[in-house]
Amino acid sequence: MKGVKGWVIGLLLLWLAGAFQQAVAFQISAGGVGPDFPLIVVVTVALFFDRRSATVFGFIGGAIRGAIAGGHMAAYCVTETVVGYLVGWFAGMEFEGNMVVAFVVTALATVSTQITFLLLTPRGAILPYLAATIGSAMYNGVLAMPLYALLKRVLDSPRH
Amino acid sequence: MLVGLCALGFIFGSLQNSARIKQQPDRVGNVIRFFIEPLAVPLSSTTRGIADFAQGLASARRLASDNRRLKQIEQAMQMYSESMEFKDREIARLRAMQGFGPIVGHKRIPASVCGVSLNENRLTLNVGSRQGVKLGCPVECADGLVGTIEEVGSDQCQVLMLTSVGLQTTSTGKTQLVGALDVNRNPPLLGVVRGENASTLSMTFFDPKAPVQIGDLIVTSGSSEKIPPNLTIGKVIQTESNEEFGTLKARLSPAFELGTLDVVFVLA
Repeated sequence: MKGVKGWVIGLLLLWLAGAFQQAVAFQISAGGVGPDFPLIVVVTVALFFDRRSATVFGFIGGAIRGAIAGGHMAAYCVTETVVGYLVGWFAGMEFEGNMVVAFVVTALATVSTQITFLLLTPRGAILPYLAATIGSAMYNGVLAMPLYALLKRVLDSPRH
Repeated sequence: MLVGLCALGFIFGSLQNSARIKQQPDRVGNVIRFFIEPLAVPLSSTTRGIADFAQGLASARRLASDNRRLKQIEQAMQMYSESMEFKDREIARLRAMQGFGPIVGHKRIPASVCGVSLNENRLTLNVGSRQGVKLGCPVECADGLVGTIEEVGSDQCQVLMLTSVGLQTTSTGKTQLVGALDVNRNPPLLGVVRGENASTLSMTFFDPKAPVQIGDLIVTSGSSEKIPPNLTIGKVIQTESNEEFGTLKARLSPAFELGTLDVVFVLA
């Protein structure tokens, strides 16, 4: 946990991510695969937070994502809260944080979020949804790497 | 903490659902969007602008060629439009000619103008003696009298237009003036019309105080040997009294336009 500085930067990034999600995401998506900026920020910032803060941060990220999407707010809040909790729990383990870890964690978080979301709001065509999920996981993972590097520089270093 | 936040998420969700059921705005979503949108709106415009600019740079050559092609298409369309207008006018003229009533003692022989000699004020038509055309027959178009037949071949003939000064003296040596009436006056004023130059006619009234007005319509009087009455000749554009000679001279703008002459009738 980086205290007030971490929270200020995290919330600022979430605000930017919300705006980018609304204004830019659809412009840089291809073949139904687009980035999920709030999720990227939630996961990347949560890597620098403890479990409790990461859970709250995930909840805020979910609320923003839900409000922008206009979808079911509970589904977004619950999935991203759980993601925040899991990433916070993972961040508490002994590991050397780097950009590859950020990529892997973001990609896994995207997949788990989308699968949880699929369970909460069932859909008809599952295979295309899963294919798009994998594409989004890669997309989000790649975008998470430079963000992680930037946060590592700004917030000094992860806890380990 | 996790359970509490998930529960809060469900509360937000149920608030959202109930708002939708009541057709009311989603307050939680609105509050969040209220903070996001001030940044999202200019960001959207900026990214679109950047994307357009980048696309413009990447496809400048194609856009330039597209632009040239579209300009060519526009020019072609303009020509097409002008051509359509010309054709519309032509159709209107032909319809007017189709509606011409019969003229006692004459039959209408339709003909196409197949040649124009500007210097001689002559037209060549694709009908001749085999179709019943005779020397001196008047020729009319949709707008009015064009001239009289001057030469006749078996399948062609030549028309000396009204505007020709030479109309006064035909090839047979006789002076041929066209008797005309100013039908806007009551009683109609009688005079004779002759060509003055390529674009105007001259009409002489034998009363120097004839109340001729600019804009008066002049038609044939029927006093000429072969020209029937009531064919439009033109309109008065200028008057000039000459009391010494006891006449009044009026200049007329002929009814027909040389550029639009295509199909005519020979009144045989």
